[in-house]
Amino acid sequence: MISSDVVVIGGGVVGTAITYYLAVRGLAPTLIERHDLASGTSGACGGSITMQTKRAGPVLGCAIQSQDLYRALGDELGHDLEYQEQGSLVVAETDDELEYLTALVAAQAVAGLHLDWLDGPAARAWGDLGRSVQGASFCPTDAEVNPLRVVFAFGEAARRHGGRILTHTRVTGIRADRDGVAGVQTDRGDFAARTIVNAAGVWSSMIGQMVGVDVPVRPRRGVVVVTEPAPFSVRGTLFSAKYLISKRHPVGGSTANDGNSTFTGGLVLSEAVAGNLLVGSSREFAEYDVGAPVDVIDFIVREAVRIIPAIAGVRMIRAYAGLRPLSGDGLPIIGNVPRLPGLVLATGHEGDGVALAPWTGKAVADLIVSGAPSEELAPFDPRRFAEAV
Amino acid sequence: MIAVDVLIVGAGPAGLSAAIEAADAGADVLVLDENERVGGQIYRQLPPEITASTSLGDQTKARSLFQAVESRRNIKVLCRTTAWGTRGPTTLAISTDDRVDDVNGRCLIVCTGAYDRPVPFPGWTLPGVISAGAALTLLKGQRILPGRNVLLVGAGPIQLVLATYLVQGGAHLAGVLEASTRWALYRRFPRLLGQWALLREGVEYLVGLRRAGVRVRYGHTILRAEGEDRVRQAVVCRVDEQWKPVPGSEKALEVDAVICGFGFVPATELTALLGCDHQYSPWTGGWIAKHNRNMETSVPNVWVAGETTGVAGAVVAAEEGRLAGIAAAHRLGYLSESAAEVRSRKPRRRLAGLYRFRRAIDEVYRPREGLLDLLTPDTVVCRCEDVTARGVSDALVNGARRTAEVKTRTRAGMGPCQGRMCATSLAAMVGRYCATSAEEAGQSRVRPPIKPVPLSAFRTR
Repeated sequence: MISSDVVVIGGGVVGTAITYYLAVRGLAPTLIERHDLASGTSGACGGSITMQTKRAGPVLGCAIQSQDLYRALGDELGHDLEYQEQGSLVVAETDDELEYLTALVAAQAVAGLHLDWLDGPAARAWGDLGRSVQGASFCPTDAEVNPLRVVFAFGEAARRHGGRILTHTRVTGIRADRDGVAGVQTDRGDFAARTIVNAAGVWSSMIGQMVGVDVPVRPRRGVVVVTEPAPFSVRGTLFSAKYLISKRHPVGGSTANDGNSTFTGGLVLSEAVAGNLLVGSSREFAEYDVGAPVDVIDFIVREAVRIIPAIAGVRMIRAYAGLRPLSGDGLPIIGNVPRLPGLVLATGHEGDGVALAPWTGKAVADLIVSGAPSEELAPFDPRRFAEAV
Repeated sequence: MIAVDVLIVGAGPAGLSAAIEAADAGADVLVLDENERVGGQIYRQLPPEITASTSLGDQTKARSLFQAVESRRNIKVLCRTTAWGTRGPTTLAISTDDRVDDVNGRCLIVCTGAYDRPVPFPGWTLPGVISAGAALTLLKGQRILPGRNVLLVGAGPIQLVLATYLVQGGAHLAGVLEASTRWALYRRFPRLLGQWALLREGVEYLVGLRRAGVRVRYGHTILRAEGEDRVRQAVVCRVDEQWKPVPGSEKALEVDAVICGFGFVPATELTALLGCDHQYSPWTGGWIAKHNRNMETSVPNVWVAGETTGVAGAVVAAEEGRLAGIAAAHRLGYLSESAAEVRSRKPRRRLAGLYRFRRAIDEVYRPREGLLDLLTPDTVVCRCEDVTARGVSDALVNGARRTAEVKTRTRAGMGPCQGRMCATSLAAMVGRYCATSAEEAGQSRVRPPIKPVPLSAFRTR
């Protein structure tokens, strides 16, 4: 049996970040991933690091810290993460959306985040936007990153600092004894560890079930359409207020069989470094199905063509779907599981995994090294789902 | 939403034959095709604005097929139409003339054909190096010669057809290189006997070429194509039984075009999207949709016919199309059980003989592992995203174990062609590195759009 200080389950952006920060602190972590790194949610998401779309409150505060880490992360890890601060724009098309956006600007100002307000003409001039756009808020410091590069860079750097990364290894069970967790069983042997981090994202509930811990996280699917490289360029990330509203007021908990649309969404548009446009996105409960339904693609594309009419001149070439780990209350779940000493949860980031990964990795490493959760982690404490975990 | 009895995707020999059978039984039929005119790849027609004094190859079969379709009022054809997604078990999302629409068929017959098996070698992305399918499109659809001094490389009977057309068109052939050995063909010759019409066709091509001074060189292939702005020279070599280049046998040829025809890969994106069960069949080109003797897939009311069920040529495609058309008409109540059985007898009997013939041909020409030895580290494997063989190797060394994981690490297969130009090579490379089969390397997940769609088609009118 191989023994480690810490076993981290899940090779996405959160798991690799935790492994990296643990290795940097001199621990000997082992990351176990069922497939390859970035083969789940982190390999099928956008790469926006936007502050203005975060709820004012604990998430925004952590996101700001996380972005600070990102600014130096490429140099620290020795990899180009394609991090760029090009800003983000949220457009409103209806009176309700204008009202929502005005409130957002005010709330973020209170939280210390300044947003520029653009009226209709100014907003439309920002990127040759459609007539339906009535106003927008702009955050100049919002950024984008290449999530795949982040995951592989964290993984590589973790290895360099003494961490072990085991891909294509399936966790089949978690051993526990009187003192708490004792190790992980896999299809490639057993690993002894007194600390186990469940960073399995949308699969974290399955890992939890192995030791009778109910992790209240379920997959919520987002679809993104990819175009060929466009002849025009898009700075930063463009959101529709409709998207933000849909994200926060989830509907459609039912299955897709009732004939009505079961998804919500709006526009999230950015340009990949290669020039392709990434056009999203939807939110839908579809279990673990990573298909991209035609009705969702149809909806997303119509949103895009209305808001940014020039996009009609390009072709879509593919679509992908990612499962976002949504927790019971929409906030990440990060911290110790009191019932089972040594088990740490770091999951439930939904669409904020990439943005929050450096901060999460650092916070979890601190928690494990110090043994006691910091004040900062309080809002994300698993104990808020008392009856569950 | 358009609704019909029988919806057919692909207007080649399979699709048109299916349409005729279903229509004759009384069904309303709609045939979709991406091209300007019906015919598919093998019976590709000139566009109406181009006329030619001579025809390439025997047109009688094609013409009678087109006439049969035109004369039936219950067959409608929608050209310039792409089926890019599915909305239900037999409902397709299509784009046509800058609009999107949905089409439902109570029965659906998928005859999407095949595409060229891409074989990367140094210089294969140079202008002037094209695939056999592209050469056929140029010759048949535009009457354009790909070059004046052309080298044909690859495997299989398609080479003879192309060589004949090129000679007819006035091109000089710098060579016709068949990777299979002569022995591989002769050894299976007894199994080819019986299909006299097909054999005669083959012999006629060979005799015609011999008369024109063209000889097929067996056991040879291309090693690399060279040139600054376009291909100027090809280095060719002998290959062994596994198509592995024989060191020291290299020879340079002056050329201005290279046509590569290493067989075809069935186009299964649509059947994959429809949720049909597939199986890996290296003999017939790769993944194919499983089907029963009536050509119905694992998804009820969805049939397949032609090259998409395994590459076997126009004659097989037409017979399979007939079976599918008859079965669909029976499903809809236009034919009784016994009437369908009677009509199916002849195609079924013909297919039995054709499949035997085809199996022997496939054994001779199926792609061999040595093709992978043409790759050098700098050879581009995914031409959409410019991913080289080195890039793929690095991904494998760094831990990727399946084609999907190579895709994530390198972007190979993420471009406009959606892997049609690299998936088979990637699967072979993963298979070799991980010592697994291309089958285990895994099929990439298929999602809509399976073909590029202009976003203008989604504008609200």
